[in-house]
Amino acid sequence: MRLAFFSPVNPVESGISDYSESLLRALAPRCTVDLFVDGYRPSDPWITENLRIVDCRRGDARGLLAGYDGVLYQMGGTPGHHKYMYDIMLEHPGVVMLHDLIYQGFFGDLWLKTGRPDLFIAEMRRSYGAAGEEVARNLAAGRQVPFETIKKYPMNKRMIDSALGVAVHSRSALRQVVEVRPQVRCQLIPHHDFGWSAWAQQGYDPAAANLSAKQKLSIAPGTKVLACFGFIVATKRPDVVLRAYARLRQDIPDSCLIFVGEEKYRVSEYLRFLELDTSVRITGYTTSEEFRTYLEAADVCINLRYPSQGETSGAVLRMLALGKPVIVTNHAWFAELPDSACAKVDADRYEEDLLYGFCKALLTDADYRLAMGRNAHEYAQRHCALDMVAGQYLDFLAECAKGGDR
Amino acid sequence: MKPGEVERKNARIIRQYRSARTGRQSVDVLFCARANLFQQPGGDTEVVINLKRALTRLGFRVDFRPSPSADVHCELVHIFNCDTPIAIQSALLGKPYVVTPMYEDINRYYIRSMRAVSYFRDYLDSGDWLLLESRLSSLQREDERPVAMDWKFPLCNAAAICATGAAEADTIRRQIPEVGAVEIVRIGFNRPVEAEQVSADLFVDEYGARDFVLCVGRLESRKNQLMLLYSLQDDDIPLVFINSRTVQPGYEDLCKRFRRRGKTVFTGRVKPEMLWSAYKAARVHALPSWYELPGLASLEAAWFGCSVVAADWGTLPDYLRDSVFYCSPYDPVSVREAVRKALEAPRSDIGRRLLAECRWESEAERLAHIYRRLLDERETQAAVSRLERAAENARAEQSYHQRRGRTLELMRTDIARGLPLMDRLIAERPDDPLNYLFRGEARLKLGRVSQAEEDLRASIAIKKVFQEVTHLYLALALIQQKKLHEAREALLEALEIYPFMNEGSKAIVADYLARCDAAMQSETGDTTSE
Repeated sequence: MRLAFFSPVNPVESGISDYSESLLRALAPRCTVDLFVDGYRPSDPWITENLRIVDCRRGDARGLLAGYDGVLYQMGGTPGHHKYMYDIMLEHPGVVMLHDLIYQGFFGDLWLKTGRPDLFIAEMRRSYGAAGEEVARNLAAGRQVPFETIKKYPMNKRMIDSALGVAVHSRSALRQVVEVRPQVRCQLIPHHDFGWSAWAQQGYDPAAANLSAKQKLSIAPGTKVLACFGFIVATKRPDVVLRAYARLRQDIPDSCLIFVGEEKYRVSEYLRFLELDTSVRITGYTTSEEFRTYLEAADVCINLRYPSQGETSGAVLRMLALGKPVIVTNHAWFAELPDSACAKVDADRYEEDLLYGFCKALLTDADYRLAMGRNAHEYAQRHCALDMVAGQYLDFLAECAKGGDR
Repeated sequence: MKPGEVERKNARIIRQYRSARTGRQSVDVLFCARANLFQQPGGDTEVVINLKRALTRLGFRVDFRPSPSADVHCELVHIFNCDTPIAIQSALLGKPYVVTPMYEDINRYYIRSMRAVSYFRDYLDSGDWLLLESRLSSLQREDERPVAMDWKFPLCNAAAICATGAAEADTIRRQIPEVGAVEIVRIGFNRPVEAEQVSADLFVDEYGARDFVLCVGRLESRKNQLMLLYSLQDDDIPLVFINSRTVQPGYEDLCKRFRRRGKTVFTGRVKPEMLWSAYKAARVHALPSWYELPGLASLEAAWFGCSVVAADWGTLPDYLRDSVFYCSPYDPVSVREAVRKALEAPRSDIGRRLLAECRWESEAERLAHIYRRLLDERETQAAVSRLERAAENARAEQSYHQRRGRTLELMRTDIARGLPLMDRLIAERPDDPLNYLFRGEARLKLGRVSQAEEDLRASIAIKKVFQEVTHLYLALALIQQKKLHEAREALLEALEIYPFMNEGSKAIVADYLARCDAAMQSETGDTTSE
């Protein structure tokens, strides 16, 4: 199969860049892949040495597409990273992996923030009629629109309508796509684990790695480490995490909390309020190697997310693959993870209590912690292994290439 | 663990923590303030953080939420800033609340400060300093106009009000005479003890300035840095701004456009060591703000021994008394004179002596005394009656806002049905400018332009600076009645008191002005031909 693969890759900083780089490595031995990018040279030498790179800003990238057996678009919610493929996918149908389900933010950034509310309103009218137009006008006027309303107008209709096939990472996303276009070919392809579960099978000793990572990070070996990964943003519920940790610290003083990522949502003043300024670390940007060291040092990972745009989390897949117990929000894709492999917290008035309860139980009960970690690793290995996911992509691309609706 | 054991343990934890007994934190005092208090920190953030820390040491359990919520049980609510929805919510929950309103004398300064920005903007565009001087001198004569938000509910229904100084307490009593007792809980001052090790050379080496005039704070209209720039325009003395991120980028642009004879430096946000070094390297700290409660930068500067120049309109005199070189924020001569005198004065430790009294611990003690009194009194008949009264007022307030919301919604789709309801709301609350604005807009749409004019003028009379659209609608109503001179006046006034008007509104103003000019020209032409 000759495959045209549209995705941001590094140096574009994005979870989808990392996702695609791993996937490309797994696809390359099984088909001929050309990578279509938006005006830059990929920084990963393996990519530049092994794949043909097509820069969509140069020449007639669109004209080349007829020569491929399949076209795959890795579509996310950041216009700077995905606008180029959005324009092409409407003209050249292919398989679209929807990394998000709600694209209000994408079109808002694309049009509302750049002084083109007319395009935003027109798109909402085209997809959702007068009701959509009304919501669009409110958004364009800068009025607050509740998330419950936003969810009803996810602005993904044209992508779904124009695609030969739609791939998603979760059952809830699949249901919603089929609601938009019942006859669409839609396939659940799990988020891959970056090959980490396979790698963790090969003589990896999690306990030794944990100790060594703590040493590297100057954390005392007996310290219980809680860690949150990725950008600190409001939807990752940092305030709730901090309040729960402030209580937990009374019970487990030899613990620490680390936010591994940049502070997009400012928490430093709230840390002062909670008098946690000396017991919580914020790392800022980390390299992938540093990221892994922090992950290995973590005894328990926290990855809350509410509200969600229907996205998955590459960080959670890495945690699972490495056998880390993870606490997630019982919502969207996260709710579909098996109960044996993680702990789930509802985003309601009990959220803080429950988070506190799970953290305390996991940090104080080693059997529970290790068993959850083992289950997590097994789940990643059975359902999210990189090679297996690559095969699912190729099968779905072949099926869609045959044409016709479901 | 056996298979299935993790799931069972998860379920047990969920049951345990979702039981009715838990799921609710219990604290003595719940602090409430704007939702972005910690994400966009300001002076109120420092007050909340430092009081919480000091009160915790006095044995109080304190937590924060943007508003009283079901997940926290508390004995008292303490509201920072005058926030009506939080106050209503507290009263509806039957919670007595203390309010630290951080009440600025906004009636006194706000319109003046907006006009000043417009005057400086025009000066930077035209270079016409004679016009600027004449316009600045008119600021002194500006009437005090009500522009404040509706802060009656939170203040009149509070169990206790804490002002940060005598000037603030006086302003509250003067503007809302119905309020009860206003107590003083001052702002504390954290001594920057680590600063002792920092030398002035750090700043001098980095920025190449020493013995300069320093101004620390966000570049924004309230802090009045344009006045400082203008006052020292022809002086050689270097002027250094340590400016963190502004919420008024337009104001920052104007400051950076200002050209003066001496060197001007904008450092942006700096690390604490650099800030301390700057205080040590500076001769004078000048912040001619229109209003400060009391202004942390001035206190810090005094602590480091700088001579301090500031306006006397806020509560700074409660803290630094007569050690400050006071100026009038609208008068460039007074600002320049204060800076000149401050430059002649030697560095002194009087600031340190005065600030020795400003400790968060002692202010928290004062606040704890108020809390204990309220907690002791809570079962008394008087306290119970006050709470019942507050709850009743809150219900009335909430009902009014809900009815108003429904009426505004209805008027969007069905003006004819909405208008009689709006008439009733206006009869009920004749001091609410929003109702007049919406009725004016509706009447304008129906072509009842003279009635629209009446409503829009009423809205402006209640609160002169409220929503820029009021002036635009008024101008349209006037244009439609051929009252072109008055329309022009309304538009020019809008440009002056809304210097940060959005681009869409600016385009509308330009369009209306063009229409006025064209119509006036054609009128003149008609007259001439006659």
